[in-house]
Amino acid sequence: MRLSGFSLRRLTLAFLSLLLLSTVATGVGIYSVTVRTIRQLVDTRIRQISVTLAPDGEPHDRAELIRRIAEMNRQRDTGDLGIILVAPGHRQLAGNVRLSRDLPPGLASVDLGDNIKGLSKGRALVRDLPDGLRLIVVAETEPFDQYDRARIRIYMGGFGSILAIVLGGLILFSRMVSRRITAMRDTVATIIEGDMSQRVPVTGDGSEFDLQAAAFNRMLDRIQVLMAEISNVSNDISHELRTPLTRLRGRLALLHKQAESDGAREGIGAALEDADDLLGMFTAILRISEIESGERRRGFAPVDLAELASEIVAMMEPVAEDSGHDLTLVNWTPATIIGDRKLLAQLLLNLVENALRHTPPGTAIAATVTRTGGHAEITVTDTGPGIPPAQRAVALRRFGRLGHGGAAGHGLGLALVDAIARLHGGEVRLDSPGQGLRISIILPME
Amino acid sequence: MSLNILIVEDDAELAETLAAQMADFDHDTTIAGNGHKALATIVNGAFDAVILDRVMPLMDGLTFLQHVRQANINVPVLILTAFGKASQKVEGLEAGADDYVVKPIDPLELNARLHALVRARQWSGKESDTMRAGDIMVSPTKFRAWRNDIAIDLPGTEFKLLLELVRHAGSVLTRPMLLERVWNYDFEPTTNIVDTYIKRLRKKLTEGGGDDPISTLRGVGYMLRK
Repeated sequence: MRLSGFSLRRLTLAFLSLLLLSTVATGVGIYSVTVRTIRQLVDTRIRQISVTLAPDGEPHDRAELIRRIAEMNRQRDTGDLGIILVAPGHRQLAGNVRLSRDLPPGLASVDLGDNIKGLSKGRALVRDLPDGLRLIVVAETEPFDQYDRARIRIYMGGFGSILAIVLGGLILFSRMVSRRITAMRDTVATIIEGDMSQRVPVTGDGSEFDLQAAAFNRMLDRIQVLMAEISNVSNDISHELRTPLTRLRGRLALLHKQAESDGAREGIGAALEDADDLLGMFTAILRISEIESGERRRGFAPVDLAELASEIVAMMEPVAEDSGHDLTLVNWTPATIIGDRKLLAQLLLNLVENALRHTPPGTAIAATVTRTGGHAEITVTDTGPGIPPAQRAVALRRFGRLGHGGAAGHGLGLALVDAIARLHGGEVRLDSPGQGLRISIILPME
Repeated sequence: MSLNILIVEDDAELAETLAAQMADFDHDTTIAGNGHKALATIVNGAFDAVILDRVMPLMDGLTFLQHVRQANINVPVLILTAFGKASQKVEGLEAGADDYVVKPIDPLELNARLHALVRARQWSGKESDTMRAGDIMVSPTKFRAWRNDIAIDLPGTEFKLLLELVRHAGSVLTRPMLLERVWNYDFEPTTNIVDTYIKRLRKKLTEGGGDDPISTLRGVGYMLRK
């Protein structure tokens, strides 16, 4: 049977309905079988009594019959029986009870409405004898008074307690399951946010959940080791390459100082810039790896993005002016988030620098800080050449430099922005408001 | 200015390279291969500055530094390490380091930083109300600056930049040093922010006449003349 298509909730509901249905069916079944069995027993008994009093096919002596009835009524074990002998014209010849209505010949049910003394429910057998006599035998079908009410109590108590135990167990069980699963989900959520140090709590009870949690934790340990190895490799490469590069840069700087011709100085100057670019790239790789480790989260404090943005924009205005760009903060709403001020400053600076680098002089660059719901949004919009939609995802990737423009930069600027945004639980969106490029950073406000 | 520098570094080759680089700037160097030797050396010699490796066997750099500070030895210490995370930098500075630099470092940059540390120690201790460098005067408390007694109107960043240059007049301040001290950034922007602001500051300083007091050392940084 395929169960995977059903949700746990639906399965539980189906299970509970089935349980309820079967409980009710059992109750009804027991009730009807008991009632039928008792009725059959009572029917057999009153038939025997009736036949004992007046055997079939034998001539009846009216006086003898009356005597037998009186005698039977005296016997103790027939105390719950009613026997009536009626002559034509409704005249009662003998009997210990009275009937308030005429019963047809054969078996019939009687109840309280028949006003038979001491009887709440019973069966009656009416037999017509020769001579116009009619013999009626009545017996109770209830072993004791108010049997129905007692039966309801028994059913309620019995089946009710079963239902209560099952329901209670189910709730307890589902709470337990959901608590363990929630713990696991919380761990996963923290890990997604970048805190690889989190582990699923293990209670030590040796249950399936504990085994599952332990296996999950072992998997996380392994992933963490692998991630650390990858990170170490890239860190090592960055460190190891930086040492000779720094030496190279030092030599170039010395040569530059000593260069005798303008041509040589120009060439060495260009080489010096290349070395700086390379060093910048390694610094950025190490920076991204530091951010992705999530360590900076420990230093998080409230930061007003509007204030920070106005500071960065004011600071970058002269730089933009030098390169012929028009940089303005067009709209700002106070939006305080919990974050790392220096990293957020780097994020804003990178966005502005990115716009400066990738757009021609004369381009307008507009920054905004707004709030929507529980989120703060930083946008930097330029009217430059933009990025085609198909290439936008590439732009956020490390070294995801795009083919156009021949612009400088190491292709890590937006990857760094993305890493900082993710460290703060946010995301980066690239789109185009018609012309140029708009980069939006959406950050949750806590 | 020739300095007497103690290099505490367990990697002998690296220590030799550092010593040779420092010799290029006319500095005298002593090498200690571990923290214990360095402690013994430092109490016997008068050093102008210490270049300290962070990770060493026997006694690590931070422990050595704590011992030095507990012994009331107030020599400027520059930690030179491969560990460049922000948290590690904070640890180093909290342990009593004066500067924290991530390997590898350009010798010019290292030299500039050592000079800045030594110069900072030579200040009288309290920052007086006005500081002077040649014909330039600044008041850090009043946020005012003058050249030849004529007030110069400087916006915040330019003022902080001038203040830093005046504090270190006569020594080179590299771009990373200026970004750390003036902008409080722990990263290097990819645009020439420092150059742009130096240009603005130069313009302001020379508006009322006079020559340019700031010299550019290409590939290294800037220096305000004394």
